Amino acid sequence: MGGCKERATFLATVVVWAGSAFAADLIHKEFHFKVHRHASVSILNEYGPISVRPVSGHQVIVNAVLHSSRVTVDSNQRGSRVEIVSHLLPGATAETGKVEYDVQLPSDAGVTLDSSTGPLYAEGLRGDVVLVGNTGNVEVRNISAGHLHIKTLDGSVSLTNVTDGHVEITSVGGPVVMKSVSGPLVQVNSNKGNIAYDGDFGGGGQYLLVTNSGNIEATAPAFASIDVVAESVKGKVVNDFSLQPAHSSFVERAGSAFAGTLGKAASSVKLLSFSGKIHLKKRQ
Amino acid sequence: MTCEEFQRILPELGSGNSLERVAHLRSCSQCAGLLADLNEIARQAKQLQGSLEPSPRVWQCIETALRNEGLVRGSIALVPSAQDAHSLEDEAHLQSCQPCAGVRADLDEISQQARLLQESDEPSPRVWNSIEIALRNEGLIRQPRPEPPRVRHAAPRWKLAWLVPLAAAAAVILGVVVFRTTQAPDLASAPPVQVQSTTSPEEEQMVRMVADRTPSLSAAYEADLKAVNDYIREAEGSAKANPRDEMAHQHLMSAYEQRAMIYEMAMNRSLR
Repeated sequence: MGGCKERATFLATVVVWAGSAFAADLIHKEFHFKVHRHASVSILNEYGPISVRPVSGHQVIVNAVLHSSRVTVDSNQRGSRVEIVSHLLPGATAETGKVEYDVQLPSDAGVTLDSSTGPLYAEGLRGDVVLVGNTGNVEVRNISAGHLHIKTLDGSVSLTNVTDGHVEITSVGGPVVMKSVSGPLVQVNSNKGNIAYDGDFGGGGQYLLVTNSGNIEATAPAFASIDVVAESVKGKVVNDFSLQPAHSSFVERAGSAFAGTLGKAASSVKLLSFSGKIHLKKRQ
Repeated sequence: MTCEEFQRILPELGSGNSLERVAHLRSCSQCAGLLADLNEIARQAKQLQGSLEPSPRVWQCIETALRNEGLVRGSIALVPSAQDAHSLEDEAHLQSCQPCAGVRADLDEISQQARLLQESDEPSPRVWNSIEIALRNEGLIRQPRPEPPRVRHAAPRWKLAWLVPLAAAAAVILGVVVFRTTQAPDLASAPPVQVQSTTSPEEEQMVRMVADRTPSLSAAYEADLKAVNDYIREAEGSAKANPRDEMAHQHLMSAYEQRAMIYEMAMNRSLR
Protein backbone atom coordinates (compact mmCIF):
# COMPACT_ATOMS: atom_id res chain seq x y z
CA MET A 1 0.00 0.00 0.00
CA GLY A 2 2.79 2.32 0.98
CA GLY A 3 4.63 1.45 -2.24
CA CYS A 4 1.64 2.47 -4.32
CA LYS A 5 1.47 5.82 -2.56
CA GLU A 6 5.14 6.43 -3.22
CA ARG A 7 4.79 5.53 -6.87
CA ALA A 8 1.77 7.84 -7.21
CA THR A 9 3.67 10.69 -5.59
CA PHE A 10 6.61 10.07 -7.89
CA LEU A 11 4.42 10.00 -10.95
CA ALA A 12 2.68 13.20 -9.92
CA THR A 13 6.03 14.87 -9.39
CA VAL A 14 7.23 13.77 -12.80
CA VAL A 15 4.06 15.01 -14.44
CA VAL A 16 4.27 18.41 -12.72
CA TRP A 17 7.93 18.74 -13.55
CA ALA A 18 7.43 17.75 -17.17
CA GLY A 19 4.49 20.11 -17.45
CA SER A 20 6.48 22.97 -15.98
CA ALA A 21 9.36 22.32 -18.33
CA PHE A 22 7.06 22.13 -21.33
CA ALA A 23 5.18 25.24 -20.28
CA ALA A 24 8.37 27.20 -19.83
CA ASP A 25 8.31 28.34 -23.45
CA LEU A 26 4.64 29.24 -23.42
CA ILE A 27 3.58 32.85 -23.16
CA HIS A 28 0.27 33.66 -21.50
CA LYS A 29 -1.67 36.79 -22.37
CA GLU A 30 -5.04 38.01 -21.23
CA PHE A 31 -7.18 40.72 -22.78
CA HIS A 32 -10.32 42.36 -21.41
CA PHE A 33 -12.78 44.39 -23.43
CA LYS A 34 -15.94 46.13 -22.29
CA VAL A 35 -18.69 45.85 -24.87
CA HIS A 36 -22.35 46.64 -25.28
CA ARG A 37 -25.19 44.37 -26.35
CA HIS A 38 -24.78 42.36 -29.54
CA ALA A 39 -21.06 42.85 -29.68
CA SER A 40 -19.08 41.53 -32.59
CA VAL A 41 -15.98 39.48 -31.86
CA SER A 42 -13.61 38.22 -34.54
CA ILE A 43 -10.63 35.96 -33.94
CA LEU A 44 -8.20 35.08 -36.67
CA ASN A 45 -5.68 32.42 -35.76
CA GLU A 46 -3.21 30.92 -38.19
CA TYR A 47 -2.36 27.88 -36.10
CA GLY A 48 -4.06 26.61 -32.99
CA PRO A 49 -7.45 26.11 -31.38
CA ILE A 50 -10.10 28.68 -30.53
CA SER A 51 -12.70 28.01 -27.89
CA VAL A 52 -15.61 30.34 -27.20
CA ARG A 53 -18.10 30.18 -24.34
CA PRO A 54 -20.51 32.59 -22.70
CA VAL A 55 -19.86 34.74 -19.65
CA SER A 56 -22.13 37.03 -17.69
CA GLY A 57 -21.77 40.76 -18.01
CA HIS A 58 -20.82 42.97 -20.91
CA GLN A 59 -17.25 41.93 -21.30
CA VAL A 60 -15.01 39.90 -23.52
CA ILE A 61 -12.18 38.01 -21.91
CA VAL A 62 -9.51 36.54 -24.15
CA ASN A 63 -6.94 34.14 -22.76
CA ALA A 64 -4.19 33.41 -25.24
CA VAL A 65 -1.36 30.93 -24.89
CA LEU A 66 1.42 31.62 -27.36
CA HIS A 67 3.74 28.75 -28.12
CA SER A 68 6.75 30.94 -28.85
CA SER A 69 7.89 34.50 -29.30
CA ARG A 70 7.62 34.07 -33.06
CA VAL A 71 3.96 34.91 -32.87
CA THR A 72 2.16 37.89 -31.35
CA VAL A 73 -1.45 38.68 -30.66
CA ASP A 74 -2.84 41.92 -32.03
CA SER A 75 -6.06 43.20 -30.53
CA ASN A 76 -8.26 45.99 -31.68
CA GLN A 77 -11.54 47.39 -30.37
CA ARG A 78 -13.88 49.81 -32.08
CA GLY A 79 -16.96 50.28 -29.97
CA SER A 80 -18.46 46.86 -29.50
CA ARG A 81 -16.42 45.35 -32.28
CA VAL A 82 -13.39 43.41 -31.10
CA GLU A 83 -10.79 41.93 -33.40
CA ILE A 84 -8.06 39.53 -32.33
CA VAL A 85 -5.42 38.44 -34.81
CA SER A 86 -2.46 36.11 -34.41
CA HIS A 87 0.43 37.77 -36.16
CA LEU A 88 3.19 35.47 -37.35
CA LEU A 89 6.72 36.77 -37.24
CA PRO A 90 9.45 35.74 -39.70
CA GLY A 91 10.53 32.17 -39.17
CA ALA A 92 7.34 31.07 -37.50
CA THR A 93 6.26 27.50 -38.16
CA ALA A 94 3.07 25.61 -37.55
CA GLU A 95 4.38 24.76 -34.11
CA THR A 96 6.08 27.99 -33.07
CA GLY A 97 3.26 30.09 -34.54
CA LYS A 98 0.61 28.30 -32.58
CA VAL A 99 -1.73 30.21 -30.29
CA GLU A 100 -4.43 28.68 -28.10
CA TYR A 101 -7.41 30.94 -27.49
CA ASP A 102 -9.97 30.56 -24.75
CA VAL A 103 -12.56 33.29 -25.14
CA GLN A 104 -15.44 34.25 -22.89
CA LEU A 105 -18.01 36.69 -24.17
CA PRO A 106 -21.67 37.74 -23.79
CA SER A 107 -23.99 35.09 -25.14
CA ASP A 108 -25.66 37.55 -27.51
CA ALA A 109 -22.41 38.45 -29.23
CA GLY A 110 -21.80 37.67 -32.86
CA VAL A 111 -18.67 35.59 -33.34
CA THR A 112 -16.34 34.89 -36.23
CA LEU A 113 -13.61 32.32 -35.70
CA ASP A 114 -11.03 31.43 -38.33
CA SER A 115 -8.18 28.99 -37.89
CA SER A 116 -6.17 26.91 -40.33
CA THR A 117 -5.32 23.92 -38.24
CA GLY A 118 -6.69 24.29 -34.79
CA PRO A 119 -10.06 22.95 -33.72
CA LEU A 120 -12.85 25.47 -33.29
CA TYR A 121 -15.30 25.18 -30.43
CA ALA A 122 -18.32 27.31 -29.62
CA GLU A 123 -21.04 26.79 -27.07
CA GLY A 124 -23.91 28.54 -25.36
CA LEU A 125 -24.28 31.46 -27.76
CA ARG A 126 -27.37 33.23 -29.07
CA GLY A 127 -25.79 35.48 -31.65
CA ASP A 128 -24.64 34.70 -35.16
CA VAL A 129 -21.65 32.40 -35.36
CA VAL A 130 -19.30 32.04 -38.32
CA LEU A 131 -16.64 29.35 -38.13
CA VAL A 132 -14.01 28.94 -40.83
CA GLY A 133 -11.53 26.11 -40.60
CA ASN A 134 -9.30 24.44 -43.10
CA THR A 135 -8.27 21.14 -41.66
CA GLY A 136 -9.23 21.61 -38.03
CA ASN A 137 -12.34 20.08 -36.52
CA VAL A 138 -15.36 22.18 -35.64
CA GLU A 139 -17.61 21.53 -32.67
CA VAL A 140 -20.69 23.53 -31.72
CA ARG A 141 -23.00 22.98 -28.77
CA ASN A 142 -26.12 24.64 -27.39
CA ILE A 143 -26.58 27.41 -29.90
CA SER A 144 -30.01 28.97 -30.27
CA ALA A 145 -31.66 31.80 -32.14
CA GLY A 146 -28.56 32.82 -34.05
CA HIS A 147 -27.41 31.87 -37.50
CA LEU A 148 -24.59 29.39 -37.78
CA HIS A 149 -22.31 29.31 -40.80
CA ILE A 150 -19.48 26.81 -41.02
CA LYS A 151 -16.94 26.49 -43.79
CA THR A 152 -14.24 23.89 -43.72
CA LEU A 153 -12.08 21.94 -46.12
CA ASP A 154 -11.39 18.64 -44.44
CA GLY A 155 -12.18 19.12 -40.79
CA SER A 156 -15.03 17.26 -39.17
CA VAL A 157 -18.11 19.17 -38.05
CA SER A 158 -20.12 18.26 -34.99
CA LEU A 159 -23.29 20.10 -33.95
CA THR A 160 -25.27 19.29 -30.85
CA ASN A 161 -28.47 20.99 -29.71
CA VAL A 162 -28.59 23.82 -32.22
CA THR A 163 -32.02 25.37 -32.62
CA ASP A 164 -34.04 28.23 -34.10
CA GLY A 165 -31.46 29.61 -36.46
CA HIS A 166 -30.19 29.17 -39.98
CA VAL A 167 -27.53 26.49 -40.16
CA GLU A 168 -25.37 26.44 -43.26
CA ILE A 169 -22.41 24.11 -43.50
CA THR A 170 -20.10 23.77 -46.47
CA SER A 171 -17.39 21.15 -46.27
CA VAL A 172 -15.30 19.38 -48.85
CA GLY A 173 -13.88 16.35 -47.10
CA GLY A 174 -14.91 16.28 -43.49
CA PRO A 175 -17.83 14.38 -42.01
CA VAL A 176 -20.77 16.30 -40.58
CA VAL A 177 -22.61 15.01 -37.53
CA MET A 178 -25.74 16.73 -36.21
CA LYS A 179 -27.65 15.83 -33.09
CA SER A 180 -30.83 17.66 -32.09
CA VAL A 181 -30.40 20.28 -34.75
CA SER A 182 -33.47 22.09 -36.00
CA GLY A 183 -34.42 25.45 -37.38
CA PRO A 184 -36.05 27.26 -40.27
CA LEU A 185 -33.10 26.37 -42.52
CA VAL A 186 -30.59 23.57 -42.12
CA GLN A 187 -28.33 23.13 -45.11
CA VAL A 188 -25.28 20.90 -45.42
CA ASN A 189 -23.18 20.81 -48.56
CA SER A 190 -20.38 18.26 -48.59
CA ASN A 191 -18.23 16.62 -51.19
CA LYS A 192 -16.60 13.52 -49.77
CA GLY A 193 -17.79 13.60 -46.21
CA ASN A 194 -20.58 11.57 -44.69
CA ILE A 195 -23.56 13.41 -43.22
CA ALA A 196 -25.32 12.12 -40.13
CA TYR A 197 -28.48 13.74 -38.77
CA ASP A 198 -30.23 12.64 -35.61
CA GLY A 199 -33.22 14.77 -34.67
CA ASP A 200 -36.90 15.40 -35.28
CA PHE A 201 -36.53 17.91 -38.13
CA GLY A 202 -38.41 20.48 -36.05
CA GLY A 203 -41.49 22.02 -37.56
CA GLY A 204 -41.71 24.26 -40.59
CA GLY A 205 -38.07 24.05 -41.53
CA GLN A 206 -36.23 23.32 -44.73
CA TYR A 207 -33.54 20.69 -44.51
CA LEU A 208 -31.20 20.14 -47.42
CA LEU A 209 -28.39 17.62 -47.01
CA VAL A 210 -26.25 17.23 -50.12
CA THR A 211 -23.09 15.24 -50.63
CA ASN A 212 -21.19 14.05 -53.64
CA SER A 213 -19.67 10.74 -52.69
CA GLY A 214 -20.46 10.63 -48.99
CA ASN A 215 -23.25 8.71 -47.31
CA ILE A 216 -26.24 10.30 -45.62
CA GLU A 217 -27.86 8.79 -42.57
CA ALA A 218 -30.86 10.67 -41.22
CA THR A 219 -32.45 9.33 -38.07
CA ALA A 220 -35.86 10.61 -37.04
CA PRO A 221 -38.57 9.55 -34.57
CA ALA A 222 -41.80 7.94 -35.71
CA PHE A 223 -43.69 11.15 -34.91
CA ALA A 224 -41.57 13.29 -37.25
CA SER A 225 -43.55 15.58 -39.52
CA ILE A 226 -41.74 15.77 -42.83
CA ASP A 227 -42.12 15.96 -46.57
CA VAL A 228 -39.08 14.02 -47.68
CA VAL A 229 -37.29 13.49 -50.96
CA ALA A 230 -34.19 11.28 -51.18
CA GLU A 231 -32.17 10.49 -54.23
CA SER A 232 -28.79 9.01 -54.97
CA VAL A 233 -27.76 9.18 -58.60
CA LYS A 234 -25.38 6.24 -58.41
CA GLY A 235 -25.88 4.89 -54.89
CA LYS A 236 -28.67 3.21 -52.99
CA VAL A 237 -31.40 4.64 -50.80
CA VAL A 238 -33.04 2.91 -47.88
CA ASN A 239 -36.17 4.05 -46.07
CA ASP A 240 -37.41 2.69 -42.75
CA PHE A 241 -40.66 4.68 -42.72
CA SER A 242 -44.01 4.07 -44.33
CA LEU A 243 -44.38 7.29 -46.23
CA GLN A 244 -47.56 8.66 -47.72
CA PRO A 245 -47.28 9.37 -51.44
CA ALA A 246 -46.39 12.95 -52.14
CA HIS A 247 -48.08 15.10 -54.77
CA SER A 248 -45.04 16.12 -56.73
CA SER A 249 -43.36 15.63 -60.07
CA PHE A 250 -40.53 13.75 -58.40
CA VAL A 251 -39.96 10.39 -60.03
CA GLU A 252 -39.40 7.57 -57.58
CA ARG A 253 -36.94 4.88 -58.57
CA ALA A 254 -36.82 1.75 -56.51
CA GLY A 255 -33.57 1.58 -54.63
CA SER A 256 -32.22 4.95 -55.71
CA ALA A 257 -34.94 7.52 -55.05
CA PHE A 258 -38.03 7.90 -52.91
CA ALA A 259 -40.38 10.63 -51.81
CA GLY A 260 -43.33 10.93 -49.49
CA THR A 261 -44.75 12.55 -46.40
CA LEU A 262 -44.86 11.66 -42.76
CA GLY A 263 -47.36 13.17 -40.32
CA LYS A 264 -48.45 16.66 -41.35
CA ALA A 265 -45.35 17.21 -43.45
CA ALA A 266 -44.41 20.35 -41.58
CA SER A 267 -40.78 20.36 -42.63
CA SER A 268 -39.25 19.84 -46.03
CA VAL A 269 -36.38 17.38 -46.10
CA LYS A 270 -34.17 16.73 -49.12
CA LEU A 271 -31.43 14.13 -48.93
CA LEU A 272 -29.22 14.07 -51.99
CA SER A 273 -26.09 12.11 -52.72
CA PHE A 274 -24.44 11.62 -56.06
CA SER A 275 -22.74 8.29 -55.48
CA GLY A 276 -23.16 7.63 -51.77
CA LYS A 277 -25.77 5.70 -49.85
CA ILE A 278 -28.78 7.34 -48.20
CA HIS A 279 -30.59 5.87 -45.23
CA LEU A 280 -33.67 7.44 -43.67
CA LYS A 281 -33.67 5.64 -40.38
CA LYS A 282 -36.43 5.32 -37.81
CA ARG A 283 -35.27 5.92 -34.26
CA GLN A 284 -35.96 2.88 -32.10
CA MET B 1 -38.25 52.09 -68.23
CA THR B 2 -37.42 48.43 -68.83
CA CYS B 3 -33.98 46.87 -68.87
CA GLU B 4 -34.24 46.41 -72.65
CA GLU B 5 -35.02 50.08 -73.15
CA PHE B 6 -32.18 51.04 -70.90
CA GLN B 7 -29.69 48.92 -72.84
CA ARG B 8 -30.70 50.64 -76.06
CA ILE B 9 -29.67 54.01 -74.72
CA LEU B 10 -26.49 52.86 -73.00
CA PRO B 11 -24.19 54.73 -75.44
CA GLU B 12 -25.93 58.03 -74.82
CA LEU B 13 -25.68 57.82 -71.06
CA GLY B 14 -22.37 59.60 -70.99
CA SER B 15 -24.00 62.79 -72.28
CA GLY B 16 -26.38 63.12 -69.37
CA ASN B 17 -28.97 61.11 -67.53
CA SER B 18 -32.67 61.78 -67.53
CA LEU B 19 -34.70 61.37 -64.40
CA GLU B 20 -36.24 58.26 -65.87
CA ARG B 21 -32.83 56.71 -66.48
CA VAL B 22 -31.63 57.61 -63.02
CA ALA B 23 -34.76 56.12 -61.51
CA HIS B 24 -34.22 52.91 -63.43
CA LEU B 25 -30.60 52.73 -62.38
CA ARG B 26 -31.60 53.12 -58.75
CA SER B 27 -34.15 50.36 -58.99
CA CYS B 28 -32.26 47.89 -61.18
CA SER B 29 -29.00 46.60 -59.81
CA GLN B 30 -28.26 44.65 -62.98
CA CYS B 31 -28.37 47.67 -65.25
CA ALA B 32 -26.46 49.68 -62.68
CA GLY B 33 -23.81 46.97 -62.63
CA LEU B 34 -23.65 46.92 -66.41
CA LEU B 35 -23.22 50.68 -66.54
CA ALA B 36 -20.57 50.53 -63.83
CA ASP B 37 -18.66 47.90 -65.81
CA LEU B 38 -18.85 50.02 -68.93
CA ASN B 39 -17.61 53.08 -67.06
CA GLU B 40 -14.77 51.08 -65.55
CA ILE B 41 -13.72 49.84 -68.96
CA ALA B 42 -13.89 53.37 -70.31
CA ARG B 43 -11.81 54.61 -67.38
CA GLN B 44 -9.20 51.95 -67.97
CA ALA B 45 -9.21 52.68 -71.67
CA LYS B 46 -8.37 56.33 -71.04
CA GLN B 47 -5.16 55.26 -69.38
CA LEU B 48 -3.93 53.48 -72.48
CA GLN B 49 -1.21 55.22 -74.37
CA GLY B 50 -1.84 56.14 -77.95
CA SER B 51 1.07 54.02 -79.00
CA LEU B 52 -0.59 51.03 -77.42
CA GLU B 53 -3.57 51.15 -79.70
CA PRO B 54 -4.04 47.79 -81.39
CA SER B 55 -3.65 47.61 -85.10
CA PRO B 56 -6.69 47.01 -87.35
CA ARG B 57 -5.32 43.51 -87.80
CA VAL B 58 -6.15 42.75 -84.17
CA TRP B 59 -9.76 43.90 -84.45
CA GLN B 60 -10.11 42.07 -87.73
CA CYS B 61 -8.75 38.94 -86.14
CA ILE B 62 -11.18 39.25 -83.25
CA GLU B 63 -14.12 39.82 -85.52
CA THR B 64 -13.20 36.85 -87.70
CA ALA B 65 -12.87 34.64 -84.67
CA LEU B 66 -16.26 35.63 -83.30
CA ARG B 67 -17.88 35.09 -86.66
CA ASN B 68 -16.28 31.65 -86.85
CA GLU B 69 -17.71 30.85 -83.45
CA GLY B 70 -21.12 31.98 -84.60
CA LEU B 71 -21.37 34.38 -81.69
CA VAL B 72 -21.98 37.44 -83.80
CA ARG B 73 -23.52 37.93 -87.18
CA GLY B 74 -23.60 41.05 -89.27
CA SER B 75 -21.90 43.38 -86.84
CA ILE B 76 -18.58 43.87 -85.13
CA ALA B 77 -16.99 41.13 -83.10
CA LEU B 78 -14.67 41.44 -80.17
CA VAL B 79 -13.53 38.08 -78.84
CA PRO B 80 -11.09 35.66 -80.41
CA SER B 81 -11.34 31.91 -80.11
CA ALA B 82 -8.88 29.26 -79.12
CA GLN B 83 -8.70 28.05 -82.68
CA ASP B 84 -7.22 31.31 -83.92
CA ALA B 85 -3.95 30.98 -85.70
CA HIS B 86 -1.15 32.48 -83.68
CA SER B 87 2.34 33.11 -84.74
CA LEU B 88 5.12 31.04 -83.29
CA GLU B 89 6.34 34.13 -81.53
CA ASP B 90 2.96 34.69 -79.90
CA GLU B 91 2.76 31.09 -78.80
CA ALA B 92 6.26 31.23 -77.38
CA HIS B 93 5.35 34.36 -75.45
CA LEU B 94 2.21 32.74 -74.09
CA GLN B 95 4.23 29.80 -72.85
CA SER B 96 6.69 32.02 -71.07
CA CYS B 97 4.30 34.65 -69.69
CA GLN B 98 1.90 33.55 -66.96
CA PRO B 99 -0.35 36.67 -66.97
CA CYS B 100 -0.83 36.56 -70.74
CA ALA B 101 -1.47 32.84 -70.61
CA GLY B 102 -4.07 33.49 -67.93
CA VAL B 103 -5.82 36.11 -70.03
CA ARG B 104 -5.71 33.76 -73.00
CA ALA B 105 -7.25 30.99 -70.88
CA ASP B 106 -10.01 33.36 -69.77
CA LEU B 107 -10.76 34.29 -73.33
CA ASP B 108 -10.87 30.67 -74.37
CA GLU B 109 -13.24 29.95 -71.51
CA ILE B 110 -15.50 32.82 -72.52
CA SER B 111 -15.45 31.62 -76.09
CA GLN B 112 -16.31 28.13 -74.97
CA GLN B 113 -19.16 29.38 -72.84
CA ALA B 114 -20.43 31.54 -75.67
CA ARG B 115 -20.84 28.51 -77.91
CA LEU B 116 -23.34 27.11 -75.47
CA LEU B 117 -25.58 30.12 -75.65
CA GLN B 118 -28.92 29.69 -77.28
CA GLU B 119 -29.59 31.84 -80.28
CA SER B 120 -32.14 33.77 -78.29
CA ASP B 121 -29.44 34.67 -75.77
CA GLU B 122 -27.29 36.36 -78.34
CA PRO B 123 -26.97 40.08 -77.64
CA SER B 124 -28.78 42.26 -80.11
CA PRO B 125 -26.78 44.25 -82.66
CA ARG B 126 -27.65 47.32 -80.63
CA VAL B 127 -25.57 46.01 -77.75
CA TRP B 128 -22.54 45.54 -79.98
CA ASN B 129 -23.21 48.93 -81.46
CA SER B 130 -23.40 50.42 -77.99
CA ILE B 131 -20.06 48.92 -77.05
CA GLU B 132 -18.47 50.16 -80.24
CA ILE B 133 -19.84 53.68 -79.78
CA ALA B 134 -18.74 53.79 -76.17
CA LEU B 135 -15.23 52.66 -77.04
CA ARG B 136 -15.03 55.16 -79.88
CA ASN B 137 -16.26 57.98 -77.64
CA GLU B 138 -13.52 57.15 -75.20
CA GLY B 139 -10.95 57.27 -77.99
CA LEU B 140 -10.02 53.63 -77.69
CA ILE B 141 -11.02 52.87 -81.25
CA ARG B 142 -9.94 55.30 -83.95
CA GLN B 143 -9.92 55.23 -87.70
CA PRO B 144 -7.10 53.14 -89.08
CA ARG B 145 -4.03 55.10 -90.00
CA PRO B 146 -1.11 54.16 -92.18
CA GLU B 147 0.98 51.87 -90.11
CA PRO B 148 4.74 52.20 -90.44
CA PRO B 149 6.64 48.98 -90.85
CA ARG B 150 7.28 47.62 -87.42
CA VAL B 151 9.90 45.26 -86.16
CA ARG B 152 7.99 42.89 -83.91
CA HIS B 153 10.69 42.23 -81.38
CA ALA B 154 11.49 45.93 -81.06
CA ALA B 155 8.32 46.65 -79.06
CA PRO B 156 8.03 44.12 -76.27
CA ARG B 157 5.40 46.14 -74.36
CA TRP B 158 3.04 45.84 -77.28
CA LYS B 159 2.73 42.10 -76.76
CA LEU B 160 1.09 42.72 -73.44
CA ALA B 161 -0.71 45.88 -74.37
CA TRP B 162 -2.82 44.42 -77.15
CA LEU B 163 -4.33 42.09 -74.61
CA VAL B 164 -5.66 44.97 -72.51
CA PRO B 165 -8.42 46.17 -74.86
CA LEU B 166 -9.03 42.56 -75.74
CA ALA B 167 -9.59 41.70 -72.11
CA ALA B 168 -11.79 44.76 -71.70
CA ALA B 169 -13.92 43.69 -74.64
CA ALA B 170 -14.09 40.18 -73.27
CA ALA B 171 -15.21 41.56 -69.92
CA VAL B 172 -18.01 43.47 -71.64
CA ILE B 173 -19.17 40.38 -73.48
CA LEU B 174 -18.98 38.29 -70.34
CA GLY B 175 -20.99 40.95 -68.52
CA VAL B 176 -23.63 40.91 -71.24
CA VAL B 177 -23.73 37.12 -71.19
CA VAL B 178 -24.09 37.02 -67.42
CA PHE B 179 -26.67 39.79 -67.56
CA ARG B 180 -28.68 37.88 -70.13
CA THR B 181 -28.49 34.56 -68.37
CA THR B 182 -29.51 36.04 -65.04
CA GLN B 183 -32.62 37.39 -66.70
CA ALA B 184 -33.61 33.86 -67.71
CA PRO B 185 -33.49 31.73 -64.57
CA ASP B 186 -35.31 28.77 -66.14
CA LEU B 187 -32.92 25.97 -65.27
CA ALA B 188 -34.47 23.54 -67.68
CA SER B 189 -33.77 25.71 -70.70
CA ALA B 190 -30.35 26.89 -69.58
CA PRO B 191 -27.50 24.98 -71.18
CA PRO B 192 -25.13 23.31 -68.73
CA VAL B 193 -21.78 24.98 -68.34
CA GLN B 194 -18.73 23.09 -69.45
CA VAL B 195 -15.92 23.05 -66.95
CA GLN B 196 -12.71 21.10 -67.09
CA SER B 197 -12.11 18.59 -64.36
CA THR B 198 -8.47 19.38 -63.87
CA THR B 199 -7.30 22.43 -62.04
CA SER B 200 -6.81 25.47 -64.22
CA PRO B 201 -3.63 27.58 -64.30
CA GLU B 202 -5.41 30.15 -62.15
CA GLU B 203 -6.21 27.50 -59.59
CA GLU B 204 -2.64 26.25 -59.63
CA GLN B 205 -1.52 29.80 -58.99
CA MET B 206 -4.01 30.04 -56.16
CA VAL B 207 -2.61 26.87 -54.59
CA ARG B 208 0.89 28.32 -54.88
CA MET B 209 -0.29 31.44 -53.06
CA VAL B 210 -1.68 29.29 -50.28
CA ALA B 211 1.59 27.36 -50.16
CA ASP B 212 3.57 30.58 -49.83
CA ARG B 213 1.53 31.52 -46.81
CA THR B 214 0.82 28.13 -45.26
CA PRO B 215 2.84 25.33 -46.91
CA SER B 216 1.11 22.58 -44.98
CA LEU B 217 -2.26 23.49 -46.48
CA SER B 218 -1.37 23.50 -50.16
CA ALA B 219 -1.84 19.74 -50.58
CA ALA B 220 -5.30 19.92 -49.01
CA TYR B 221 -6.32 22.81 -51.26
CA GLU B 222 -5.04 21.08 -54.36
CA ALA B 223 -6.74 17.78 -53.58
CA ASP B 224 -10.00 19.44 -52.65
CA LEU B 225 -10.02 21.58 -55.78
CA LYS B 226 -9.61 18.48 -57.90
CA ALA B 227 -12.36 16.71 -56.01
CA VAL B 228 -14.71 19.66 -56.43
CA ASN B 229 -13.90 20.03 -60.12
CA ASP B 230 -14.63 16.34 -60.62
CA TYR B 231 -17.92 16.83 -58.81
CA ILE B 232 -18.77 19.74 -61.08
CA ARG B 233 -17.97 17.69 -64.16
CA GLU B 234 -20.15 14.80 -63.00
CA ALA B 235 -22.98 17.08 -61.93
CA GLU B 236 -22.85 18.86 -65.27
CA GLY B 237 -23.14 15.60 -67.10
CA SER B 238 -26.10 14.62 -64.97
CA ALA B 239 -27.81 17.99 -65.44
CA LYS B 240 -27.20 17.84 -69.15
CA ALA B 241 -28.66 14.36 -69.39
CA ASN B 242 -31.63 15.35 -67.26
CA PRO B 243 -32.24 19.04 -67.93
CA ARG B 244 -35.54 19.07 -66.04
CA ASP B 245 -34.24 17.21 -63.01
CA GLU B 246 -34.24 19.63 -60.10
CA MET B 247 -31.98 17.41 -58.04
CA ALA B 248 -29.36 17.25 -60.78
CA HIS B 249 -29.24 21.03 -60.83
CA GLN B 250 -29.06 21.08 -57.04
CA HIS B 251 -25.91 18.94 -57.23
CA LEU B 252 -24.44 21.33 -59.75
CA MET B 253 -25.20 24.33 -57.54
CA SER B 254 -23.72 22.58 -54.53
CA ALA B 255 -20.55 21.76 -56.43
CA TYR B 256 -20.16 25.37 -57.53
CA GLU B 257 -20.74 26.55 -53.97
CA GLN B 258 -17.95 24.30 -52.80
CA ARG B 259 -15.57 25.69 -55.37
CA ALA B 260 -16.57 29.24 -54.48
CA MET B 261 -15.85 28.47 -50.84
CA ILE B 262 -12.38 27.16 -51.65
CA TYR B 263 -11.65 30.24 -53.74
CA GLU B 264 -12.84 32.51 -50.95
CA MET B 265 -10.85 30.73 -48.28
CA ALA B 266 -7.70 30.69 -50.38
CA MET B 267 -8.07 34.34 -51.24
CA ASN B 268 -8.63 35.37 -47.64
CA ARG B 269 -5.64 33.32 -46.57
CA SER B 270 -3.29 34.76 -49.16
CA LEU B 271 -4.36 38.32 -48.37
CA ARG B 272 -3.50 38.11 -44.68
